[in-house]
Amino acid sequence: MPQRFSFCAFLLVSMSHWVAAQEPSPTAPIATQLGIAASELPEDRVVVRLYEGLPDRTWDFTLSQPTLEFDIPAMAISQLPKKYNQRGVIEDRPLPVLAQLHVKRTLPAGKHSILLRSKNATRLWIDDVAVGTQPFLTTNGDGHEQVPTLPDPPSSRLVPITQGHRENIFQAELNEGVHVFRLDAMVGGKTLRPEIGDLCLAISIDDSEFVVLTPEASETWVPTTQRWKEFHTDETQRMQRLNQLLRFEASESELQYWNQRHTQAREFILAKSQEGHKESEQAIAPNLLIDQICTASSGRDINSIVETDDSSFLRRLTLDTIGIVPSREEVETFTADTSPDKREKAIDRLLSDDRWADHWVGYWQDVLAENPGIVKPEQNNTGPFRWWIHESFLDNKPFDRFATELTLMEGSKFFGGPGGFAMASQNDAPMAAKAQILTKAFLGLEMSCARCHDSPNSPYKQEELFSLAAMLKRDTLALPVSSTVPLNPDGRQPLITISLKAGDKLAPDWHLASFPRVDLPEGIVRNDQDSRERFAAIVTSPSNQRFARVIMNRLWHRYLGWAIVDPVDNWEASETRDPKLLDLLEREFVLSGYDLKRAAKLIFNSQIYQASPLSQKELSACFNAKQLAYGPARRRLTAEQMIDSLFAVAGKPMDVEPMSLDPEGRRPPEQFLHLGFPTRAWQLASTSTDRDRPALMLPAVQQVCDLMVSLGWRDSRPAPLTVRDESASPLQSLILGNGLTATKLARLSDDSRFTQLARNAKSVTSLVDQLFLTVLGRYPINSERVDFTKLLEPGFESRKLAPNGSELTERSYKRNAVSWANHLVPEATRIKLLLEQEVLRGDAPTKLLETDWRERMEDATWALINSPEFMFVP
Amino acid sequence: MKRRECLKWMGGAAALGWFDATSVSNVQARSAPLLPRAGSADSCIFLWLGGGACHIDTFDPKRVSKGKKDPGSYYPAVDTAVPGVQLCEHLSRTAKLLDRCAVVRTLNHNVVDEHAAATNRVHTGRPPADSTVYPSIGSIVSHQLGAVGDGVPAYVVAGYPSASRGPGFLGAKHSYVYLTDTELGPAGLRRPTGLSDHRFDRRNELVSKLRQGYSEKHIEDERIQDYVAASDVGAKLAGPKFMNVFQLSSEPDSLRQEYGGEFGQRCLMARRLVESGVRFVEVSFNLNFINGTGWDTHNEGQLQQHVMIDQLDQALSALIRDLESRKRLDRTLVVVATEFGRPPEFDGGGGRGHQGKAFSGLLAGGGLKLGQAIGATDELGRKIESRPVSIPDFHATIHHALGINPSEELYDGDRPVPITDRGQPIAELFS
Repeated sequence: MPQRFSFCAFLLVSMSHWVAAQEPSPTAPIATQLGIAASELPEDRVVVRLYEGLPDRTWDFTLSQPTLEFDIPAMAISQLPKKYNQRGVIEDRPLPVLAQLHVKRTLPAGKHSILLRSKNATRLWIDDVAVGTQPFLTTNGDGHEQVPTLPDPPSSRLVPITQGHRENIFQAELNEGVHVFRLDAMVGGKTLRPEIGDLCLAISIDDSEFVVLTPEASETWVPTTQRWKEFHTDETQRMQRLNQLLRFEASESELQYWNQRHTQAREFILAKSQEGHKESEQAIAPNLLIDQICTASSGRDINSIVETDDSSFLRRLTLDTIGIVPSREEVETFTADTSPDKREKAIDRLLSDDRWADHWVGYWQDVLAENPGIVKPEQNNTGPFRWWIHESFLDNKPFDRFATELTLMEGSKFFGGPGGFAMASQNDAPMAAKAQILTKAFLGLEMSCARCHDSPNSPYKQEELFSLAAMLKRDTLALPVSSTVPLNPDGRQPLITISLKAGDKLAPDWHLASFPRVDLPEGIVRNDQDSRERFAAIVTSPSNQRFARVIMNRLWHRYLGWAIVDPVDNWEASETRDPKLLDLLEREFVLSGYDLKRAAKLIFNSQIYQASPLSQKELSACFNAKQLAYGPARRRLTAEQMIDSLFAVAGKPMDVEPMSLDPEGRRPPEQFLHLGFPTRAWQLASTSTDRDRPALMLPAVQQVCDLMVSLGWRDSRPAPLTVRDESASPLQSLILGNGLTATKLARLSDDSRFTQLARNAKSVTSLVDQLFLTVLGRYPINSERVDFTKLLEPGFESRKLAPNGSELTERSYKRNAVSWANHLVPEATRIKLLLEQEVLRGDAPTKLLETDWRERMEDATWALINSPEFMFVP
Repeated sequence: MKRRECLKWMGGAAALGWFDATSVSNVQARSAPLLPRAGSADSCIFLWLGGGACHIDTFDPKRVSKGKKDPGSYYPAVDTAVPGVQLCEHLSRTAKLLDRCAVVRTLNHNVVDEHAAATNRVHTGRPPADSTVYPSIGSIVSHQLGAVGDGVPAYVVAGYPSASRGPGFLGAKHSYVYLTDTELGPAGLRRPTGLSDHRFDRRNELVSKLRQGYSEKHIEDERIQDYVAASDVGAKLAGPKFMNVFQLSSEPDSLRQEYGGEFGQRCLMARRLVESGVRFVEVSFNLNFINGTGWDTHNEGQLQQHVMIDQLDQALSALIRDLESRKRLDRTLVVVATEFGRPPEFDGGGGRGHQGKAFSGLLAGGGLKLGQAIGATDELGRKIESRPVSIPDFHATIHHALGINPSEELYDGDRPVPITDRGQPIAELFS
């Protein structure tokens, strides 16, 4: 039993801003069974314990062992660590969860104010005595509540609370000495999503400013808007590391299985390639071999390949690895570097950057039809398994393991696990949809026609697809009426063949007449009774060469802009340009243990990748002759690359609304999801509700989505897609120029990188150079330097208005209290219409620069961002 | 898009599709319509009453309810210009013009009681598919006919972007340009708030130099050339010709007042849009600040429903009269549609639930045979009594009036998909 510290007296005056029902006060016996003694608490950390699966909406329970204990730097938390199953995929914690935060702190004697902010129910204890409590969150589904007034913070410097949160101030009179604070917070519920919100405990000592309560040995901090944002960023990084540790720990035995499989796969491919490959070829570095194969195929001399210049190379590579353009500093460093291996070093540096994962998510969201809806599921909505995709690439998960985990569809359905892939709302044969997606993604099979009939355009029969679907279902599957085609009423002969009728039963079986037979090596399938596992094993087995080849072809296509086998997702209807390159990539991929980074490294180190882009004409000439091309195709930035690069260049946060129509968290996850606070483009989702209610709009999200949609991003993904429609449209430059660039990116607000550049520049010339480097990643040519200097020179010397820059204002959260619970009252509509206007007005321009000069600088920035050069991969 | 296509798009006769010049063949290849084309419409204004407008409180009035427990219409009915056909009293202006309209009282579908799904059904005319996404009627019309005039988009939505309004398998070229506020003009096309002419010109001068420099450096690169060409088209689209359409202030004050509130102003804008050559305009009545719920009149949403009906009446009647006085009514098909109706009973809060098995729509102008009510529902509007009109039939009617064959096949890749799911135009409107 932990030792207790005495206390003087508590004055329990609640200054609640949130008129809450009185909760029964917590009973003493529960309190004493829980706390951690001061002597056991660390000096510099807050200890958090999680308890799972408690009874709903009550404090009346007895706790046993916590399921997890971890620590954080301060009494502030907005994310809980995830839970992982034995395969290392996200799974759900039984809800509700109790999070207990413990900290010890020496305080002077006196009457102190304690500020408690939370979303769901909380209880605060000091030295094991109850100080205050906040009530349980109530559910609401009808939308007719009054819009609550969000209170102003107790001092104007503090970040205000956001919707769905409560804020209370308690007074406590304490002795001088060490005190233990314990905060119990309920997270989620039987019908509530597990969102902890912005849980925070702050203290005002003797009427001084509120500071977040931190442990003994840590510095305190004031939760200002800016500081709270930094806290979020820091916390995201800490949680990312903690989650990675947790999933590695949970899946140790799984790792052994995959190591064995990869040993087996290496033996298999080595045995196979000894038959085919010449000794001499194997002695050459594979990246050079890529160059040899490509140049030989197109009948060119390897020395004729034109290498792209350094700044173009860096921009291309940075976009291909982390999905954003390089920073000005990176360009300067790289171009100034004279070492001969600087390209190799840059490749290694970028491959080890965590943002590698961000850049992959968008691709697989398309290919795997990840399609979460934020409001009441529509056709083919899935869970948000984007988070599992992201983690897989953070871990550089071997790709056969990735495909297997997806196929097994385990783990969390609504909160990010591959369990979310199992879902296809309003689809009466979801597993047929999944079989189609999986075989298309990993084997290049096009089976969409087979959903309803046998097609003259595809060798795959309906019966074959539904037998695969039954494998995924782990059970016999009856063909639904909706997957059949009615006969023509006029008696015309259909072009298609109908071989099954509604109600026909299909047993789990893999028999694809047009696909090479796959013999499974010993030990691959751990549970032979599980047809879903067999499905995964057949897809990923090294004896199924198609898998590694399809993935390598996808990788090649992504980095070179043209495919070896085209189209990449329909091999039966494709032409293979030169099999040698695919053989090489397959072999290297399998030898590396299906390691995508290793494969990417090979490609990036090839001269072919590093060559100048080829025009369509040059590419066609090669392809018409069934040759490989000798350089990359011209690529436009993807929608995600554009958005992420634009924000990176401007140095601004995306700062859009939370991705939810129930930000209060009062609706069940089956109907409303919360996809978080987007910081990268892949985290966005459709705002469409098909309800046309202004109160449901997310205007800042919409502005970003409008640009993304114009660039070929799909805001809903009911079916898989690999190659987007990226054709040019008159709307693209308009939406870019008149939308986001105008309101945010080229607006010189206090927090803009361009404001910093403008203030710090030593001369106009250096400012122009820096502007070009920042936006286009290169120095200006002479005529450009002349034009931009002419624009920015007048008034340059007197541009700074506040010499110290101390007047910088903090970006304020655009908070509003509209949520599903209240969106049907007129006030909700009014609030959202005002918010829309605010978004259209854009960021407030800085007062630190003289207006006329600032406007010229903004126009210069705008022009560079809107230059077509920004849109294309050099 | 190829530069050649862009230029053609701006150029003249082939101003088809939303940036698409490929549908010429569709127009030429169209097989003969099933019915004689009495209609002479070349454009369509589609007024959307999102939320599910109560048919018995609008176009299909019934016995007036005596109170919350008594099922029935919420308002008395008035006679109209068409003998024997009545409308709710808050539609009295439209009532006088009903000889220019046809009320369709037997729309129906079997969609579950859910807004998004029903909205999707009424926009696409089909239940959603497991393996494809069907296009909206606006996108289909845009795909089939393109824009009427040069330098304007084919399909404009005054409302929020939504999946149901989208182009589905027809692809982004047949999507819409949208606006949420009449004063501001479409998202992306309008000039940023507060940007002066001087700055606008300065920006464009800078960017056109950069564009030219980049373009000249990559003269052989089609992708870059296509983008630059498309940007030029965009600049013209955002120019005065099209953007002036949104300057409602250039209309006489008296006319603007005739149209009434924000919905009326959107209708006036729709008239200006079709005059400028836009083929299909969807106007959303989503002024939910009036009663909170819009047309989805559950609970207390019912209380101010008459204010919305009155605004609809004012706008619709003004639109019909205005089009008529400008000799455009025969060329313009005006459609009033909603996702479902509402039952005659009241809920606990005095409002109404949803009802998809019988509800109303309205057609006006378009050169149809007007002045009639199509179909009849039972005593309280719960069930259809005669002449049901399915959503595919309703769509087929719109297509037929515009000269589009409702059974022509579109292609989703290589899969043929008829424009409507076996819809038959309402024959009574075309004889």
